[in-house]
Amino acid sequence: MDYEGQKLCENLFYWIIILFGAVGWVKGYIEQDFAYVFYAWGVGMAISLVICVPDWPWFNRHPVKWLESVPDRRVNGNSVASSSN
Amino acid sequence: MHTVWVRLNAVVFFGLSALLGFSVLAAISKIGHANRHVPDVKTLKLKRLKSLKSHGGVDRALLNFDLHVDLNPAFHWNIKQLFVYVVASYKSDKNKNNQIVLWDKIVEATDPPESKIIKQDSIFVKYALVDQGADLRGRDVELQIMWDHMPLTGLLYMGEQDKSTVSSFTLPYDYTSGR
Repeated sequence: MDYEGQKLCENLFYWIIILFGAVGWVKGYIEQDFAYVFYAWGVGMAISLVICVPDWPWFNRHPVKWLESVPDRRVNGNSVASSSN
Repeated sequence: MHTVWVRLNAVVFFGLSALLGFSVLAAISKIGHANRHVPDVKTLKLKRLKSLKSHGGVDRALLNFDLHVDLNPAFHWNIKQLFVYVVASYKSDKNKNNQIVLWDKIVEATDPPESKIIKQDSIFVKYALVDQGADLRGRDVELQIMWDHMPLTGLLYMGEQDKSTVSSFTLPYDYTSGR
């Protein structure tokens, strides 16, 4: 999972759990039964676990671009350490 | 967030924190409820004094009482159950105020509304009215119903029958068994 994917993943489970829980809370308040909150929260948790835990392809759309590798400075078999002296 | 285990940890514990938050909000949403919605105590009075005896040096009374109370108003979405109990209180030479639980009952939120109304005649006490000494004869005894609100989240808080509706009776001046 790349860095953009990690950010997306964290935002996803944050909003999924909060939104499901909040809807359940309002429903529970209207019905005066806390079980609605718990079940809605449970659904949000299940969805979050499925979406956010495995390394899905949509979390890997921004692969880190590494710098080009530094050209080999060893010449004629001399090591870098010895050439810097 | 770079491995499965870190993400699993993040989701599970964020979820639990959110659930805690929703629970606390539910508790906050019912602050003051008990001031506005009080169980309706219609009847609580002595039906029959079964006996008043000296029992190993201390006085002990057994009795039946009538109870009619509607507990529905006390319930809301953050109440798990009510612990309801009938308290006898009287003054003795030794103590300014004695309070003795005679009977109790747990009423759960999941019970149907009609079983949250207790209407029963001649309930026999679960626990005897026992004095610390031999000082029950001739005492004025008040019967009062009280209840503990046991919430899903938050603090337990108590409620009690309004003092102005409390009934009282006088125990006989001599030991007696059955009337």
